[in-house]
Amino acid sequence: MTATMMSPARPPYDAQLADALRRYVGAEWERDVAVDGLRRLAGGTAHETWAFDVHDGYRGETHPLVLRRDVDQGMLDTDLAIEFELLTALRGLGIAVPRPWWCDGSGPLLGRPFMIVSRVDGTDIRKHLAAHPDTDGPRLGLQLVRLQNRLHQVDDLRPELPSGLPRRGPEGELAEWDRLIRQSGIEPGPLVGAALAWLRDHLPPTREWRLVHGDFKTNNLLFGADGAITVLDWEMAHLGDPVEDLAWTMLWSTRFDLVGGLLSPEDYLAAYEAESGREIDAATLLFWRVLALVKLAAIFLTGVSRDGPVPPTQHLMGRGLHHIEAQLADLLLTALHGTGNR
Amino acid sequence: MSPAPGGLATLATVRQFLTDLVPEVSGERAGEVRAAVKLLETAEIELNVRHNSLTTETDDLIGYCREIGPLVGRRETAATCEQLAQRLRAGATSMTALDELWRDTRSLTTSLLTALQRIESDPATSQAEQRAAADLLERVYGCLGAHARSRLSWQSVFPVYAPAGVDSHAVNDHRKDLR
Repeated sequence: MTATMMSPARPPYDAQLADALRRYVGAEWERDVAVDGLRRLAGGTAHETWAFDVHDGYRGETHPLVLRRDVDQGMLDTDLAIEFELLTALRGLGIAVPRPWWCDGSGPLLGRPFMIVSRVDGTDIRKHLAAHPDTDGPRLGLQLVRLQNRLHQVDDLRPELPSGLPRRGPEGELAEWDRLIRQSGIEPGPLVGAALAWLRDHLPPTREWRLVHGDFKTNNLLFGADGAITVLDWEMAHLGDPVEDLAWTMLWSTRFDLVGGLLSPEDYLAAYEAESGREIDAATLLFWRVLALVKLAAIFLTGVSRDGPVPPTQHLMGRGLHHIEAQLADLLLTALHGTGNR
Repeated sequence: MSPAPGGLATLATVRQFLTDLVPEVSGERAGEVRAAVKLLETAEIELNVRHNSLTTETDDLIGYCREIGPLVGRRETAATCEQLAQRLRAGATSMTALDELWRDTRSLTTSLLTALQRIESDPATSQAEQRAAADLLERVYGCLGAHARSRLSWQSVFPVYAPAGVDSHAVNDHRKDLR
């Protein structure tokens, strides 16, 4: 009985969205198309993501696509137009990312700004590892390190990169996440406060400006049927210090993750150093590891403080702050004892 | 005749009701209902221990604030701590009052802790003061870390505690569940 009370609004909403997509793609291709299989996908911090198929009767083709659309209650505000331009640039540079099809920054056709990209056939590496415990972890780990380093080979002088791609070093990243924490209006507690103060006093220099993915972890890496790995979720990408990316990757540390799963933290860092030819400074890495936790706290706090009713999902994520605090305590103790041990 | 159910029993009843409802709810909404169930689960755990936790933590932090105040040159801290301690001794008349006291104490702790960090890292500070600040920082970080770890069962985003690492599997499973 209650389910009947809750469900009536959903099918029309999906049907309306499918119809809007059919009209939009049909207008772009200047012919009638059919849309089916529309379903919402997990993942993404700032956008809602939908999978759907477009059937092009004229050419007899089916195109698996993904719609990424702004949401009112997202955990972050990011710019879809820049992400779209970045995907276009990365494909030009030979980096495996989903093919970008269309982007509409004004969004009247689908109600909000959106972009549509190809849906890559594959399984994210986290799920792959869960389903295939016999995977050669160290080998795959080294493959991912090579991929991550390849992204970091893209420097700020590349003319292909979108001009609006944010350029944020330690100071800029700290200011951004600090701003979001303040904007949340939630008192984050002594450990986040102490971490913010410690970060302000320990800003490392940025020795090189590179493409930082901002969310490089196994669930954003898709294993294709051909064994190729596609990098997804570029919503937090910017130009910055590549060590920032390493610290964020190190934050995720179960057996299904790159660090802690495929490679130990020590082996991960050693492999990256060998691959990139860069020596990772322990103090710089510690700075970015503390900042990674502050960033996660900012994302969670933003999620629970948006205007309007907070969905249970985001409220649930917000309670993860206790875990972040526990880890900040450990890292601040590490900082106190000296940063020689990374 | 059995007594009327208390607050926790009421929450448990609502949680069970929502749990039974999940299979009947369509995709995206089902994720939100599952999240609501998990929130209720952790809220029940929290409410069982929250009063004792906040009392103990407030007491811990008032003690540390008393120690930090003189080291960072804030003489007014002693009086502020005494006021907080009086509120604690008087016994909070409601969870709201205790919550407010706990927040006030955490806010004071944040301010003093950041001042203590500066003393510890300031080259102009004497070595003896730096050592004292470092010793106190170590104890305060440890205490706050213990407070946070004691709350891990109040959340279900991260299932296990691993030092300086997050379980992305759990977070992403969660996101998946929540859709």
